[in-house]
Amino acid sequence: MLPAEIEALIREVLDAADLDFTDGRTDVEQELRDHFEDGLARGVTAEELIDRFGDPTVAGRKIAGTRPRAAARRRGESRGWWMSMGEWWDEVRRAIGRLGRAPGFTAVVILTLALGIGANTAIFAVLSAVILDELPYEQPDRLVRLYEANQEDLIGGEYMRAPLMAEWRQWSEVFEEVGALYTYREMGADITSAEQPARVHTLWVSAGYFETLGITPHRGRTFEPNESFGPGEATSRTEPIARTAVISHRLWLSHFEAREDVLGSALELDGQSYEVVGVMPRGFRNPFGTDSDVWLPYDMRQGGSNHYQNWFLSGIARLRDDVTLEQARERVRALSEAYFETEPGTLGAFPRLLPLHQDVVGSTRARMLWILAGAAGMLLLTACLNVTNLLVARGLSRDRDLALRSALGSGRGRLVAGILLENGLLALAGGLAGLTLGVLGVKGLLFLAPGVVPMVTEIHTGGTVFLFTSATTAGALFLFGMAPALRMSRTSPADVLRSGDRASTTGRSGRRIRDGLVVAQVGVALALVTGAALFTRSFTSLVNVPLGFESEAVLTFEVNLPGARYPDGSSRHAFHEEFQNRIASLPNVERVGAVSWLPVRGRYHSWGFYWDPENPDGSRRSRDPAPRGRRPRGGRLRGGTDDLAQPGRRRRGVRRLGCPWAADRHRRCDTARDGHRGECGSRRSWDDHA
Amino acid sequence: MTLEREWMRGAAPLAVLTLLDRREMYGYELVEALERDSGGLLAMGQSTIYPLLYNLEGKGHVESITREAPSGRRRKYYRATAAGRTWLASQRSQWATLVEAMTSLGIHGGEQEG
Repeated sequence: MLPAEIEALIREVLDAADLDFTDGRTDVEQELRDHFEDGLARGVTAEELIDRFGDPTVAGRKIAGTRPRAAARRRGESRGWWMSMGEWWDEVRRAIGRLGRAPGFTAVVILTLALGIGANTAIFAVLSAVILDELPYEQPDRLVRLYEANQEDLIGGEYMRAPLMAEWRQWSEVFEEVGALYTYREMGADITSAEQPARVHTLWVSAGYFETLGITPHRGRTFEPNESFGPGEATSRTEPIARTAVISHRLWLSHFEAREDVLGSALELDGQSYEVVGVMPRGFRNPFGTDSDVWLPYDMRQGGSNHYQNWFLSGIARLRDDVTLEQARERVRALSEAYFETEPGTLGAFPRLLPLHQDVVGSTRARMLWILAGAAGMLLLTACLNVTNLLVARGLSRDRDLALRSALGSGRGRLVAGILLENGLLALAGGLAGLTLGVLGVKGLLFLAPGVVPMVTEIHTGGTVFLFTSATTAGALFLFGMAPALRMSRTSPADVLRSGDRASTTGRSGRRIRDGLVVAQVGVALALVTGAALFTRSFTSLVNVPLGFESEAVLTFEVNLPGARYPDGSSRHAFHEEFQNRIASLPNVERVGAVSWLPVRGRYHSWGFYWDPENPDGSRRSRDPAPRGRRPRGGRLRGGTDDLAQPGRRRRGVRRLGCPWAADRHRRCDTARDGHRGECGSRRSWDDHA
Repeated sequence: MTLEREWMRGAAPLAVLTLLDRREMYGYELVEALERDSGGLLAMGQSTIYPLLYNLEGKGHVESITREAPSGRRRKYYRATAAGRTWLASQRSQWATLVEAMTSLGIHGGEQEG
């Protein structure tokens, strides 16, 4: 450790030399230290050493003279934008120092940028996952969703009939593969082989389902054709041909602890044993419907529930490589017409082919996302204008400092580079904070609203999102960083120095820039606020649409009964009777009811309905209410009876109708009385209690 | 007696290089040697030695290497390069010619003393 007066002398030499790291500043400093250490070690006093050393300023200048770049700097020569790494690093340190001395300003700028960039990152992550990215299947552009349409109903219903699916599967000139899924209702089962029963989602699929999506199992195999389309006839929907199961990667990890010998293991679902034949790769998801833990082979043979009057399957298909979508659409129409000749049960139905991506994303959702992206972009623009304003205001107060540097020989390029560097650091910090906010935003979105966007678990904040954020940050830097930098670089040193005080530098041009910024900011903010107001208004209108019932103080839950313990209708009925009695007897419970699908959840059972047997009118949707207390809280009937539990009134084929639809039908028939007869589903006659 | 600045400017590099041609030295060692071997005549302001060394290094007449000194501390040693030695030979010859010329003009130590 050297005496303080020697340390001061060394600093004086180095300051006079004005060396940076590339000029060997560290080396010189070390050599001077060695010099004094050696002197002290030989018994010379500090005063004597200082005396013998000579003038430190002269020494510093002489040392600088031996370094060409340091000498050039001393002469005030500027080499424009081109700086060595050391010079850049020096500028960075200076910029950090300047920003550190204005913590309030720095924090406000970083926060403003973070909000703008964060919103854009989050929206882009969703947009990229939902619209821009392809579906996570092989050659996703060859995948189509199948709907069963006919001449009268070109859009087609959601569900299809098993025999038709079995027929379409054979149209190999159009389809490479066809897969059916049982999405008519959500299926679940209890794993009963474990110590603790666990509830898992199951999905019945036909053989060919995984092949259609082009998914290769992580382990084992998928379903073979004879596990769905084998010989013989189907007897019951719940009795599979083969008791085999394909499980998800998640279930393999959690239930089978990633065992290598999982294939061939028994998996007991609701008391029935299934053989595990395959494990899906990590992250595999069904293109629509719910996530599944277990896939079971669906019996697609004719018989049982698989007949031409039962609509309950969803379908996907992979088009052949040499067939375009248009060609496929034409071809299936022709094939369907020919098939109708031999099988009148098809009622002339043909498959409507819709690209799977379009089906999954939906045009409305896509539009909404683009609108949101636009709003986020405008938010960023406002943030940038705000930051520019702050920077310009700050720049005005820095004019003197810059003018002084300029007068001392700092080149314009160097000054602008310094300012841009400072802005770049702000953008970098804002970008990093924005990325964090965006990632948190996406996580929050997934947590709060898992069903809002399709394929939502595919949203990941990986490389693309990072690139987007980087590009956005660079764009923002360009927007807010250039104007102040160029303005500052045009500052005339003489004018500024002559003016003598800082306030006078806010001349006409400065005011013009700031006025322009304020005008732009108000304009963008106005558009943003208008958009937000319209959004809010639409949302409020949507929320306030009368649902026909009061949802306040209504609690809902799901009840799954294992098929092994409740194999038939009567045992299930007995369970629900007892269950509802118990619930009803709980304190504070006013009423209890059950329904197959909760209202306004978007899912229905679909039934064909024919008002007039002579004039078929497509399918309509229904929910099955339980006999007890099924009148919704606050709901009122327009007419007829609401008590289907009355002895003798609860019988097959009795349905209540949704109000708008019933009103429509009654207007058309010019009558609104009870007891009309219509046909539903399998054309069984039934009473309409509207 | 002290030398005038102009004489010093010409003599110092020659003296430093002559010392470094004998053996390699680090900064403080060189300062001491100059003072001792020149009888104090070439004892310049110590700070001057470093710009001088950097200059010679820049011209390629000396080179530096950092290694441990006998004291155990790491020091930056300087030594003459081949180019430095060539330059030194030429300087010596010029010096000898100059001394000869000066002597023939009657400028020499004895006359001054007398």
